[in-house]
Amino acid sequence: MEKEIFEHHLNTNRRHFLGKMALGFGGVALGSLLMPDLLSGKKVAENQLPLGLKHFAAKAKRIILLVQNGAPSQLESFDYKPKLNDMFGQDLPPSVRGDQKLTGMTAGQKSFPLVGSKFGFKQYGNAGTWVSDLFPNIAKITDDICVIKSMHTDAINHDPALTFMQTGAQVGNRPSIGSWFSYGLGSENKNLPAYCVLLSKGKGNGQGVYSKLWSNGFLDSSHQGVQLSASEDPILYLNNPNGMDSKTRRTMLDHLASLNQLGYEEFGDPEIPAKIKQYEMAYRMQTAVPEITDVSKEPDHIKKMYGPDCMVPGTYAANCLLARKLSESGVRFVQLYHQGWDQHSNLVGEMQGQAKDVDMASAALITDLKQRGLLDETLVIWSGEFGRTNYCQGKLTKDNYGRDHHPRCFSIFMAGGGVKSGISYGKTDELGYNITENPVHIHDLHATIMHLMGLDHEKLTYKHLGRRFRLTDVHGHVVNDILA
Amino acid sequence: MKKSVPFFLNTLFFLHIFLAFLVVFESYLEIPFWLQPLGRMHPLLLHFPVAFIALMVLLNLFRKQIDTTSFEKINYFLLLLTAFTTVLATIMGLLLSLEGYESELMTLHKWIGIGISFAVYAMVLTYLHKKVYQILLYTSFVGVVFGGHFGAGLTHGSHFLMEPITSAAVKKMDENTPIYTAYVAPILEKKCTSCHNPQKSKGELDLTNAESITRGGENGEVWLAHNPEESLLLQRVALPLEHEEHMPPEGKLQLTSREIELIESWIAHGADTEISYALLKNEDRLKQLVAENWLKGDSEKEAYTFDFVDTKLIDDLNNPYRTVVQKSPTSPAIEVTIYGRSSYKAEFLTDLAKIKEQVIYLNLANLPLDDNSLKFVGELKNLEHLVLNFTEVTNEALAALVANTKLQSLSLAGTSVDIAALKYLKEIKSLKELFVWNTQMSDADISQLVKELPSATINEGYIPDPEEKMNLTPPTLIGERNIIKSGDRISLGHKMNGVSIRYTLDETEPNEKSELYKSEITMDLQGERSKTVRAIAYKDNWLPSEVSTFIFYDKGLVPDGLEVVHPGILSSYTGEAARILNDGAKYDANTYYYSKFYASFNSKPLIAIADFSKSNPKIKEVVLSCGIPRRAKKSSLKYVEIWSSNNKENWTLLKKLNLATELNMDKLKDISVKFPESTAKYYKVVGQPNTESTLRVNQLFFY
Repeated sequence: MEKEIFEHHLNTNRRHFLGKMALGFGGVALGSLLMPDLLSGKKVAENQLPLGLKHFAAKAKRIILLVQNGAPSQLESFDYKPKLNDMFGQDLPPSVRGDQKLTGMTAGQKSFPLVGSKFGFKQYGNAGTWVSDLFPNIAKITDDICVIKSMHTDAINHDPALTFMQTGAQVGNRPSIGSWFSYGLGSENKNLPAYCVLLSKGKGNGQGVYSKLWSNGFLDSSHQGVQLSASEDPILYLNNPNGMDSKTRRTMLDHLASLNQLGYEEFGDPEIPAKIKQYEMAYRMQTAVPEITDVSKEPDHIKKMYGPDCMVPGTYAANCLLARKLSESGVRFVQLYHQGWDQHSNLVGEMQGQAKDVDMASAALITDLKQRGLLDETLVIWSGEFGRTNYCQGKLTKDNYGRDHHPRCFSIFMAGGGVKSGISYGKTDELGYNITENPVHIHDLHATIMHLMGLDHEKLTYKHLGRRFRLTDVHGHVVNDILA
Repeated sequence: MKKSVPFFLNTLFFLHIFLAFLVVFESYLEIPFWLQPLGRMHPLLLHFPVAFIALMVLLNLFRKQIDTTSFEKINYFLLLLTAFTTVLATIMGLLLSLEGYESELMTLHKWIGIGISFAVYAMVLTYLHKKVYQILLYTSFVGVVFGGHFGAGLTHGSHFLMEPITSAAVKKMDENTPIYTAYVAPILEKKCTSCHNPQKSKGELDLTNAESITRGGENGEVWLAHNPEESLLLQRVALPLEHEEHMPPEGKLQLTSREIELIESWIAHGADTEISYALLKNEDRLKQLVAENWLKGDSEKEAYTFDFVDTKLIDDLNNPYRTVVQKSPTSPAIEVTIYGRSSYKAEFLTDLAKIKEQVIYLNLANLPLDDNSLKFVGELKNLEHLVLNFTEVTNEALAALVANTKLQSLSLAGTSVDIAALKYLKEIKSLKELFVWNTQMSDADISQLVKELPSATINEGYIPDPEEKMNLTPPTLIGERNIIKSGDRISLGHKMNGVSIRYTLDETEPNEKSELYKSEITMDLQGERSKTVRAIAYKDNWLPSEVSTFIFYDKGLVPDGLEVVHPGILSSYTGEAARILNDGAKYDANTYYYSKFYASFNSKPLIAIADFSKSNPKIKEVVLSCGIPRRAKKSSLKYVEIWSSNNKENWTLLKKLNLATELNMDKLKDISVKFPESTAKYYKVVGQPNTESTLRVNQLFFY
């Protein structure tokens, strides 16, 4: 035996050596097959999980995002700063302001007189959460919510800030957060869009909302938000026209689908199958939507809870009630916008009206979900796009003032869906200008929301223009401290 | 044998190069799903090399007892076989490790495995150098013992081996377990003791047991009882992450604020290693903290013993009305929701028989369920969460749920169950949350529930304050058309059920005694040009609504056709004047002046030709219903002319009104042009906009 092995070694000549090297290269080649992008010089693919599946067990199944468009003042809602009242009219110390850039509206102002809330604050609930007198109903449910007082953002004007809040980028053309969920988790109820949008308008100074905010960006167009209108037909053109019955509609759709299929086979445009899918969903929506939008069967005290305005289509209260119905029916992401929170002047007057619009219905939505046992699986978020300055914009009088945009800190609240309840998170300095504890960036908020929905914000990506995009771009940390 | 040796040698060479490659580029690898079964065969194959190496050790120990030729033959053959199975098992193990087992144990096991594989291959290459060969053999054997032990730790848990002996010592955690043992020590073990242990006492500190902690490290004591601010541990933790003395160091697992909070209040309470939850007073912050954040968390740990369901089956069970999803990729538990009241079929529920064991969440809200449906639900023995809101479920049907011994959360909101259901609910021992809002249960019933179901949280939901009264919203008009003729019927409506609407037709304020609206109101204009309906809504326990006012206008004489010379404008687009001027709807002059309900004209005039050639009525007045911008100061109309003709060619001017200087805006809302009675076949209405003004007209009336 030894002899044979020895001979074998002796017989190793150039030919054998080369033959063996070939085997070695074979091993390398086999290995490289497992690394698709290694030899092509491209960046290595991330370990992507199949779409439509959670990355891990989720706390929340659905989200209702209540966008307070225009940026409500944190100083008149949740961030109580009595020091500002003491320092009424005094100039904001430049050391506090630091290098913060200002908007064109106050950059030219000669002084920055501090002004405290005209409205009183009280502590509520077991945790003693501070809430202003403008929000008496939200004050009653502080044990169910988590107030974050240390939100901050990058943008200082409405459009970029709102776009940032919605898409994780200040420039347009990125998918909205609801679209990312539709893409990552799919639809819960396949008879309804995964992402619905409802608009309402308060009497306060308003800022525009536009469909780019619920756009699918570069994702498949089936992920875009569907706007429900306040009219008798919440989804336009959903009903069959006169003379078209359901059977004819079905036959028409079947033939249309086969024509579209031919078109797809010829051109391979991925938008064609998306279109076929959407026609099919619209067909099923014809029965699903009337069931949901009919609020007449809601018990009377529900109407008392949301306020009688919930019977008037197009109001915030009606949208909150509809949001609950949509969410309960498995719409993954429902987004409300309430316009009118941009109080550059006459803050005292306008904010009362705005708060009256949203206070009762926002609180009712959370209570309503809770009493149905759905709050644990539904995440409700109430948020503007940035905060407002602690100094007055324009003329400061004893009775009235205005506040400019402030990206360095603002307050939001969340409820349900795996978020700790009855806590306040983060702190700002005593003048309410800078964050002193636990800052939460918009990217962090996004990462946290995704985490609650069972998605790893670093793993949900989409390849576009040669790179992989994420909602949180290259940022974002899950705020573990607020997870229940 | 002779012939197979080169084959074995070449294969071994090939596989080791492959292994080396995988090891070097491990972090870039992406294992396709179809290769994963290969990785999962690791536990199957690894026993061969383990046994072979042990056999070789034995063979080599007893080589003297065997004749040399046989020994060499057997030994070499065994070596090749060992090398072959080792490298295969290692490659498979490496593939398996990429599925995401990250731990220290994993790292150890992996490198020992790779080491053994190369050692055994080295034995093949150095077979003729007996000394090297022997050393490698015994080293490999030691490697196998340790590698095998760590591997077993990965699959069975690191304490598996000694568990029967040590478990007697591990007490069950309960309210009497000291807080230190139950919560504080595990935090230290998880976050600190990898560096501060008896073997590796960084800073001469050992945090593994209470005694060594009391001893402290080179910087002194770890904590000071009752004084969290002065406690070194908390000070170090509170330093900014980038600070050199921050603990745990940057890059290591950090303490969460929840953990810091607990340690802080435990130190503040006195850092007593014996104090337990049961011994704490109710007002102690530590007790509240543990109750809120720690006790609860422990009981929610879940481990399912049932198997995963084939993903194909899950796919098949999904349909547009039924969503079936795995709780997470690593959990076999399944969550099911069924939607759509009108599309519901009983099979949607009973199809779930195939995944009976795995369903832990079931949402059947708003479905038309019968009692049989719940019998099926009773068979889902691992069900934890059931939503039956607004279904037809009855008290008796709930009897079936007694079989759901794992049911923790039950939502019955909006159902007709009452307190009689308690006898079944009491039998669901696992119940932790019960939602009974909007059921037939009274306040007293709910207190009884709270008393008799002590381990469950009862949520009764929003109870309206009977004292609090709110205003109803005003009644609305159904349909938008407000141009009528006598005898037409109009309808009012209200979104709320059970509302009574009262109305007046004489412009007086309606009240409780006014006419009650039934289904329609038949309008009688009584020769007037308009009629006002005022309506108010009433309902028990609500304050009356504001009064809504609807004005209806006399339709007058309707032309057989209306054509316009210019279509007008709609913002910057072409308008639809011909349709708008004749659409039967008149709008409030101020509210809608800018909208698509108005035919607008600026550079070109309004020229509308009404055809009365068939009916040929007597006409003596034309009214232009116009829109006026809210802050308008001057007339937007220069003049109006009414012409008549019988052949659309020879026009006779009937009347011209100059309005260019009119300043009373009210007079410009409804512009009446009267002329001597005429029976012409065609009438032409010309409206010339004032300079730099836009004329907006929403309807033309002929009387």
